[in-house]
Amino acid sequence: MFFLKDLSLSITLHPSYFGPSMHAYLRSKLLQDVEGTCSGEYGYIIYVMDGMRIDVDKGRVIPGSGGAEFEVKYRAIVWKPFKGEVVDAVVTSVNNIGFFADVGPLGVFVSTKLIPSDMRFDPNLNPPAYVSEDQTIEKGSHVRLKIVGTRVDVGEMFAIGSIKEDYLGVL
Amino acid sequence: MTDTNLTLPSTLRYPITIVQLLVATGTEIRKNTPLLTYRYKTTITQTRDLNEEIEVPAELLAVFEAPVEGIVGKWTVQEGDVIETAGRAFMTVTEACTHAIQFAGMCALCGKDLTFQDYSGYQESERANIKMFHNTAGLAVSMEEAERIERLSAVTLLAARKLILVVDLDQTVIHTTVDPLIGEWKKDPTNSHYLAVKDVYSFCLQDAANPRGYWYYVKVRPGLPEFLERISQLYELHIYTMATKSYATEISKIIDPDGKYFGDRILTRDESGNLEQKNLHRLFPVDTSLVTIIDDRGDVWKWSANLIKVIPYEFFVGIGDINSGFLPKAQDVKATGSTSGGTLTMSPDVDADNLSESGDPSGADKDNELHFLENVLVRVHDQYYKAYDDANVQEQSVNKRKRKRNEDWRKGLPDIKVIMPEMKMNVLKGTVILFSGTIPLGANIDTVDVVIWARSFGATIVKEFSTDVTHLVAERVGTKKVQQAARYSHIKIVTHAWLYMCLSTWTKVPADDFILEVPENSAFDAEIDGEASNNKNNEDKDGDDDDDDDDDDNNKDTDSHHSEESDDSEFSFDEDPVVRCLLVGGPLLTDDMPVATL
Repeated sequence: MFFLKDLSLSITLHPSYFGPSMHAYLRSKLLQDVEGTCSGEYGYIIYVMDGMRIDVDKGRVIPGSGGAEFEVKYRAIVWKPFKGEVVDAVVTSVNNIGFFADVGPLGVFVSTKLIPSDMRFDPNLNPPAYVSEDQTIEKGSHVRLKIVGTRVDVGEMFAIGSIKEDYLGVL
Repeated sequence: MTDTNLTLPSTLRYPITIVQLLVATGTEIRKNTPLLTYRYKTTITQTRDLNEEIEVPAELLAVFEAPVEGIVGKWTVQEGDVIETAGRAFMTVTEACTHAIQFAGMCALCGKDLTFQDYSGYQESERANIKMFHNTAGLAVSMEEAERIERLSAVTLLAARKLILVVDLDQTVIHTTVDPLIGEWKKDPTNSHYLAVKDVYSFCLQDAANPRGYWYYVKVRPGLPEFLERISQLYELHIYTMATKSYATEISKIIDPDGKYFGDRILTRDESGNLEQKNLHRLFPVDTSLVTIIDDRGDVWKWSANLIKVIPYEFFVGIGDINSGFLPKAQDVKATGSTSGGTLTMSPDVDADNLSESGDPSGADKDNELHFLENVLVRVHDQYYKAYDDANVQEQSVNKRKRKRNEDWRKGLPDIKVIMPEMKMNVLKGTVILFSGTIPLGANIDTVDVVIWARSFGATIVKEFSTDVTHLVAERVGTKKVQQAARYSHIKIVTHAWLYMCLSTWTKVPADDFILEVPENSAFDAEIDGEASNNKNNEDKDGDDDDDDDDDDNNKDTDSHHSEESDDSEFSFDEDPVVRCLLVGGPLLTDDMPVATL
């Protein structure tokens, strides 16, 4: 699910960056550091909103080092997949125990047990695919799936999906 | 819903005595529900008086808790039983999910996160610890699931009358170099090497360390497209390479542009989990009875019975396998002569202008290993399915199709690991081979690749000369062993090409085309006491042996004299790359004293 979320990040600057373009530098550093990252708490930070209105506080000199620490407040679009959520995905790889699909940055695995039983794996097709009378799931297919479970690893997330329900499957 | 047999872990202090069973059949248990209490013997430390510690034997009571959740089936132990060792099944539990397939730490069936570890030390993620998939890191299955998957694919293969062929890339089906010279030659049609390299493919790989990328130049082994086309009818093809994923992907685009031969079945060092060895169980954890391998290195497979070793393909001479950086050094032998032979000489110390081309100036590549390999693979396939049909006929007459879905579904099926060695063993049966100028002095012949290879074909390899020898394999004539052998008409003195021809065609080819000519006029003439008038080898090649008869006695003397001196330091670093390659890895102990020059 997507959320608009107010977040903040503290950035430490070396004194050599102090000067007229300090704010611009802080902004670009913020975008570099947070956009595209993933944390267990918020999921993926997709996009930092209002690039020009990022709020940078006055900053505080760190005793002993000469650097300064800035608290940067920003608003971002975050995406966190939840168990039970239905999402659209693109199939990336198909094998005999299931298929892998990408939901944007999230890798999802759908095992044969969670694929309708009328879809059979055919390894002789090129590319290999799950085939039923009216549907084919192969590399590149678009599918709608339901997330059955998620797990957060360092910097990335994984999910298990299912297409064994009504209105799920090939789009 | 699946019944699981719970077994006792090895962490308990055996032997243990079951004291009490705490849950009854039909109760629902959760993780860490107490299941039973047991007694075990141990020693405890007690403090006597003030500071004297003593060990006292004691019997303690402990509780065993449920590692999984589900509904209790039946107990297979009773109160009062003494259990000696770990691994004993003690009860069955009906589980909602056995977590048999796991992806990135989650169960792929129920979506549960399985990385959680409780105080009991039981870890759900251990239940699926077999990685058997080509390109999907993070996917693992349990032993039962692996067996099920393999059974399904074996049934499909048998129905289609196919086998499995695992293909190595570098020096087996292609040869790659990173030498930028090739790129220059390819661009310039007026260059004298243009014809030789015009059908060399090239691609560029970039990574974070080299943003500009390296250019790779790839020569496909002659006949590969036809080979793949025909063999893919009989075999399911897999790639198993020690190269990186991105490299393997590029190569598969070259040799299999439509993806119809290999598909996604590509395993590289990024996923294989081992940089030094290749292991068939990585792809086929349970059953390898349908699998054959082609590779130019026998040692990385530990000379597996499924392996068909091929002669390394070397188009860019002197480059070797660019992806073998992590492998033990190849001590392998390169064949020359009629079977193969590099086309471009590329040793780095040679000036670009006078690079010599040992092959055809038109760039024609005379390697025909794949042609032989195809014949061999067809024969293996025929042999397997002949055995399969025989077994099936028998099976059906004995017990009519009783084994389907049986535990022992594999029973009675022929096994490549039996069939192939049997076929090979007959090829050179009864042949006694002595090498000359091949194996470094003092090397243990049991570890030399070519010896292991020839032995797998039933040949007997001897170290010292004896009259039992049937073939002497040598590259040059000026060695002691050649002289000894030349005295006996039944010993054929042949070049290495003969042996490689036998090994790659799986037939005992007649030695006549590979006879190493022993010159008649040289000082160490081999014909002694007229014995050699029967020596067909020599007579056929040069007809003027009569002239030398007078010198026989002299020669004999010089022979024995030099033999002692030169002893076994018989090989020399002549221009022949074969000999040079053969020596790699051994002590280079030659004072280069071939008899012929003295």
